[in-house]
Amino acid sequence: MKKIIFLLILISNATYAKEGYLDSFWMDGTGLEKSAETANLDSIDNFINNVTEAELDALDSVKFPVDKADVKPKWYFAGTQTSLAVGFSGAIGLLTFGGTKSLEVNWERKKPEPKDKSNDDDSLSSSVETVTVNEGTTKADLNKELEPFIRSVVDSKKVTNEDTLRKELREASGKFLAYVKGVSASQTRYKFVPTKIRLEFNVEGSGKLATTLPGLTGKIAVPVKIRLEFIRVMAKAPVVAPTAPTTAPVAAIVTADMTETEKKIATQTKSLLDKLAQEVTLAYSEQVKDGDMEKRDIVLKYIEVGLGFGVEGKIGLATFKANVIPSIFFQKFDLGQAPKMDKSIDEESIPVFVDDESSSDKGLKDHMMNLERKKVRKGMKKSLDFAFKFAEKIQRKTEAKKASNWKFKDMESRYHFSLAGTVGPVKLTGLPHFILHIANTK
Amino acid sequence: MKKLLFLSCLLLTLSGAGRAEDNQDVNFIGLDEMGKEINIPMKKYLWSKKNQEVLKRLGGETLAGLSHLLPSGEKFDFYQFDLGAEIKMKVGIGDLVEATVQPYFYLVFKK
Repeated sequence: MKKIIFLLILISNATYAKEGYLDSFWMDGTGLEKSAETANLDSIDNFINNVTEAELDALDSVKFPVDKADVKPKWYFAGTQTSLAVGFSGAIGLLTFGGTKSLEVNWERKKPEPKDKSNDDDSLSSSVETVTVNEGTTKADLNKELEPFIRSVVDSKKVTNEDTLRKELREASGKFLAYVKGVSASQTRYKFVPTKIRLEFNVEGSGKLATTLPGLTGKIAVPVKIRLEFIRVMAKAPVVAPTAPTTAPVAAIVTADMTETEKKIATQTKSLLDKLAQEVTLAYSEQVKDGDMEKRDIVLKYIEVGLGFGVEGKIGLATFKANVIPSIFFQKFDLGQAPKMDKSIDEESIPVFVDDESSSDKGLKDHMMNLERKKVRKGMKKSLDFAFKFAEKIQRKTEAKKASNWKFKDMESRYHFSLAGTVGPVKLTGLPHFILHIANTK
Repeated sequence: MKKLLFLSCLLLTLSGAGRAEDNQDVNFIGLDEMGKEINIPMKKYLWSKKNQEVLKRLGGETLAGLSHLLPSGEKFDFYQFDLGAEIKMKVGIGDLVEATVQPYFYLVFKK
């Protein structure tokens, strides 16, 4: 009898995660095996409910003064953003003090104010000075494009050493164009395609380029910021037959004015993105069944991954940390196909740069490890599951408050690979390897 | 022995019910200057009240100022203004101990 009682108590402790804490399954995958099927976010239900209610109550309580300017369109309050973080043992909370945010939730009005449609922008994120390049942009073109930016920051005295700034920007933009070549040459046959690459950096007063940390919030003084961006033009023609191959013609990488390093970046970026496109598509196809997203009223807008270039000249998945870390955005492409599951690729690997937190006394150290593709896929699936469940809970809670004039707009959910190869929401001192962008479709 | 089993089952049920009870706290989380994790709970209504004060003050004043400082019809017209805010609050975490929390968030203005 005592054994039965002991077993009952054991079961009670194993079944429930502590209130306000994420189950260990989400954190490091060490939960029970059955968690993969039964994993839920019940233990943070109250937290999600309370944060959503507090946010909506606050927004609804404020009546902004009528804008009396006699010019149109008028300014209006469009929304707000809430940052959430996950502690080392899984406690979840509103991010305060310092640390990395794990989730970012944006709120907007249910009925948007009438506005100038030409200025319509669905992003609530901060605007940054952006230089956009296309597939034909050369180094000379890009340097010319950057000249007005250099002039403006030097004239404003925000940067004192013009030569350093020019040299650093030239080197960074050369590498960026190499990444662009890799993106342009990557295949478009799968449902998820790398459609955008973005490289953002801060400029210090000395003219040196400094890291932008998208995972962190808070007190980082950023005098000057610039973004380089390439958006791929995708075919919009309908598929003639359901089985027709949708591989768009892909140009070979032209390496004419590239350095040896840039050539390596271009070819390895293509190779890595081809593998990742297949893995992201497989993970999504296995996790999301037909019609599932419509029922949930949410959609995966894109998956953002960080790319790093190691000292050994290898490209891998990296945290958004070191200088010149470009973000690649995978977006769902209607003409793409779901690849057939081929077990032979499971044992292949994807290079991943991981921080060794155990060596924190000597400063975090990057380790490049070759992670089995099946592990990368499993991590992506778990992350999709977590993000969808989290978004769905906020969505349902917002919907229940019918009288509210505000709603959940979209969110970013950030994930980290550990040295053991498992994936979980990024914790307070970690930095994300990839970010899922989820939007409310209602 | 039957009583013991009954009691255990009752305890098990109650422990589940306890977890499901309505917790009205919002947790604040972050790192202190030494890199140590801090968790401080706050009552939901209190956080909502503080949030309202910030929205009223910052939102109202910014909106009024924007129309005058950044009017429409100029050559390089702004169409979005993001305001990052960080507020400091003293909260009690016991009878004697007080702590400061500094949540930050964005307010977004458009036209």
